[in-house]
Amino acid sequence: MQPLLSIKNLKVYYYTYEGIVKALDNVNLNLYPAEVLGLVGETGCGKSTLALSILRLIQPPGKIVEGEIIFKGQNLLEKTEEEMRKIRGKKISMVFQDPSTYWNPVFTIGDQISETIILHKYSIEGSSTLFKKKIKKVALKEAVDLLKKVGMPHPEKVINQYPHELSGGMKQRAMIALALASKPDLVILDEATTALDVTIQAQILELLSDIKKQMGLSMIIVTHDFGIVAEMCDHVAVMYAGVIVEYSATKKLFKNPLHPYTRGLLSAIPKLHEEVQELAVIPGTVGNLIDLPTGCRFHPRCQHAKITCTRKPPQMIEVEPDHFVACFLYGGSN
Amino acid sequence: MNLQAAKNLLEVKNLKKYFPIKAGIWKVKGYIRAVDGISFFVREGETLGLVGESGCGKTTVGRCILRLIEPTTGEIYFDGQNIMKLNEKDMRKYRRYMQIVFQDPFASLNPRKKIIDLVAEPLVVHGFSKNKLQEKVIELLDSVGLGKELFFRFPHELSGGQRQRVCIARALALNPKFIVLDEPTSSLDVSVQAQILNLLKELRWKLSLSYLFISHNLSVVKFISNRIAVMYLGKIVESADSKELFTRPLHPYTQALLSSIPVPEPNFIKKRVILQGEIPTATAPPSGCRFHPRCQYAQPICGKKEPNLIEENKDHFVACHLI
Amino acid sequence: MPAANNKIGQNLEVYFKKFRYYAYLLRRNPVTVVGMVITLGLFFVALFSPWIAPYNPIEQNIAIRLQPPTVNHPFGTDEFGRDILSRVLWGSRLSLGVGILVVIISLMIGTILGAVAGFLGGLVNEVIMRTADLFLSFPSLILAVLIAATLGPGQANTMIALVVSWWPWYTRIVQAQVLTIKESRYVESAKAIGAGNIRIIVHHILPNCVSPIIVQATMDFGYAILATSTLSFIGLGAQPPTPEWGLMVSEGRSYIVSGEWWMITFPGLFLMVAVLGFLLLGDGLCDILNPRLK
Repeated sequence: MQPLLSIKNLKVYYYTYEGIVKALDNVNLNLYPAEVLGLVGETGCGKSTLALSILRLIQPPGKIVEGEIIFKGQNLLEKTEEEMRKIRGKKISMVFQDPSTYWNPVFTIGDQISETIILHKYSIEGSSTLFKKKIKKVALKEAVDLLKKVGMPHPEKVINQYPHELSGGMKQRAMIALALASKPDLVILDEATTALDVTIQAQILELLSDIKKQMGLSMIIVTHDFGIVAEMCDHVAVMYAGVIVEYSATKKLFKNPLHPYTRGLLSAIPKLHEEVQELAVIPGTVGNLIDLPTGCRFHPRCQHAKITCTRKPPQMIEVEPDHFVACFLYGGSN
Repeated sequence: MNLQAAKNLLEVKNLKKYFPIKAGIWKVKGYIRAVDGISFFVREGETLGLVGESGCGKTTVGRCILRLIEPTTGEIYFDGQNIMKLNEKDMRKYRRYMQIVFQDPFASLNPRKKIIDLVAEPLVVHGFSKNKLQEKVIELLDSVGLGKELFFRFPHELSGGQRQRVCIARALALNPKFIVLDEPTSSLDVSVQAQILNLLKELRWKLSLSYLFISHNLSVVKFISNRIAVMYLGKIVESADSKELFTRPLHPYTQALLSSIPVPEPNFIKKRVILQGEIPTATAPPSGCRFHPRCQYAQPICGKKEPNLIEENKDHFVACHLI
Repeated sequence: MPAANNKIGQNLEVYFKKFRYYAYLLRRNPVTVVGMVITLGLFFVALFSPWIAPYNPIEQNIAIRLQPPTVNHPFGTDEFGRDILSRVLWGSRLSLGVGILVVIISLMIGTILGAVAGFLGGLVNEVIMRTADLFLSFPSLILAVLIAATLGPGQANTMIALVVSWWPWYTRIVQAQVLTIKESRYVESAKAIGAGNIRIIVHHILPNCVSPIIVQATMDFGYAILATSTLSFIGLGAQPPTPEWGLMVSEGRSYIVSGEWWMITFPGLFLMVAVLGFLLLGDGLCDILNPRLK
């Protein structure tokens, strides 16, 4: 099967006063149709940068230095801004973390959703005002249907409300509705539930599961919460300091985490159904992305580090079917 | 350590905090009942976890106990003394024994002060001798795992975990007996969170501290607390020993809360209770039991009468008509 | 650079890092450098004018009156034969001195009142701020003119007049800052460890108010110079024979028609450049002090 999205050798650097921040280095990833991929990692690992790069939303001083992002057979990095605009929100859409800041406070929810619908479905450039009004009415009705689909209570009322009148959970639902407005092939969720309460998060996750079943679209879920990954994702990519250190089918990752960082991360999480006296700790800190260690980026903190780990960065190796890891512990040191 | 036999270090009775909503300069339109009559206790050497979602009032409780916000009514007994009756000056003396660590370590540290000044400040305020100051600061930083090379740095030059350690060192400076921890790890990465939680446990054991650990993250609360109290919309709905609460949650809200947490275990099949609706605001809480509009077991009585907190089992309290 | 372990070494490291950062910011804001050069130049001139000025500024020499700029007198001479260059250089002393004093005194009064108003709130806040509003409702120059006219001419009275019309600006800035900072976490943290109100205001609140005050004060130096000159221009400030820029412009007014352009031009030019320098510097400081624009 052909992948829906294929990222090859992606490098994204930020050119700042203090040096070059290598936010992403040689990232390779494949996403298949109707699949949910989880991007997990801590602050600074580059997962948000990766999400933004797919849509080419990286602002200066950041720059996509090298690589290919092939979506449905076409390289997104070679497209013009005009062509990208037809893709953003239409074929690939994004749901962001803080619903409060991503809604324009001076327009109603209905206005903002219908704007997207009109933009991507109808072309009203140069038409008469009367025609525009008619189209707006149609778009508003579609917006109500969309809100119903995402389980929003009283969608006809919400259409006329302003963002500040809605709660966080409702705003996030509306954002998801916005993202689904033009039936995209891929939805990227960047920490979409981090700012929500846990019971509201449960509602949103359930909604996303339903949508996945109904619409058969692909999703990339960027998160730091392994619980969400376990529940929602088919595949997981674990990121550390700008590189992917492990990629696998979800069940295999939890059953058999290979990379020392993945293992460390999983043992550092306090779990509800386990009793531990002390949480396992990964010594040291991430450090900054300007002065990166040579070779494997994780080796200063790794208890298994050897000389090979300092010489060159490890390549991704398939240790078992559908389970890749970038670590010299599993070979690749010639 | 036999916690059951230890005496109560902190006792809170019927604490209420209402925030007035002003209409114009003088008129008051209504009240936000952030905390609406809660009572609990923390024994010596024990950690009480306080969990709930946004708007439940847990943060306000933490601040009211230390009188950083003045409670509307209620009694707070610390080591037998009713601190609500103290004036400003006497209260300041008691502040030595009760400290607080906040959620955002960056905002909690004055950005223009060096680390050494920040950690030494509590000592300076309470008249510690100047020549022993540096020594004591080194000792404090050491106890939280930081070295003296950070003396002359500013908060923005430290990482999130380091900043939080500085806040903890600051809280320990006066040898307190009781520390309120208000979401201390919520803004930290998972690996850093693990370090801080381990540190808190170690300090608790070394220095015989009692904690009130406030958080919305149940897994973290379970890790560090001996007992847990669940809050909803300004009231405590259930409180029990940690293990007991997780194995036998009685209140429907507790059950929903526990089942909402995504478990990092893909084969874990659980029956999820998805709550309908949103969390209501604290200005006009629902009549009767505050949870009844969202409760799947609601009965007519739940909308009429507010349930009291009753002891269903040893040390396990719950406020629900169905128990 | 290896981390130093002693106090001096660490302090040096901190200053070095700061210096490099500010140098970078200045490179990005060349206009600020212009402002800095002008103001530093002005300070230098004001400080060393007794030694730089070639002639005595008030010594009259009727024989060489109304001479255009020559090698001996680069700025020409005025109607009493006084060397205009020396008068301009000495004038910088006056303008700068008065300007700085006015700003600093207004700043001190305004800061104390603003801090008290913001911190205590309630009735105190209302009284102070409404009084400030009262003063602010007058156009500042007209108010200064009124006060100066009531008190009588003279530099000292000018200063009093300007201070009285300017303190409310600082009160406002400081009060707004204090209101915000009062609610911040680190102030709450200071309360939690038992710090008293005075300690909180002095150690925690005021140091964090400093940035907008510095920006406003720097720009105000420029405006103060202008205001002093304006008052002297209309006869309320410095009195003849004091070499004050505004006064010199006023005295030279009647001579433009007869063609002696140098009497107004040079003091006017210096005035303009001085004010510009301070404004540019203040503007640049605003950018620099606005944190983290990396």
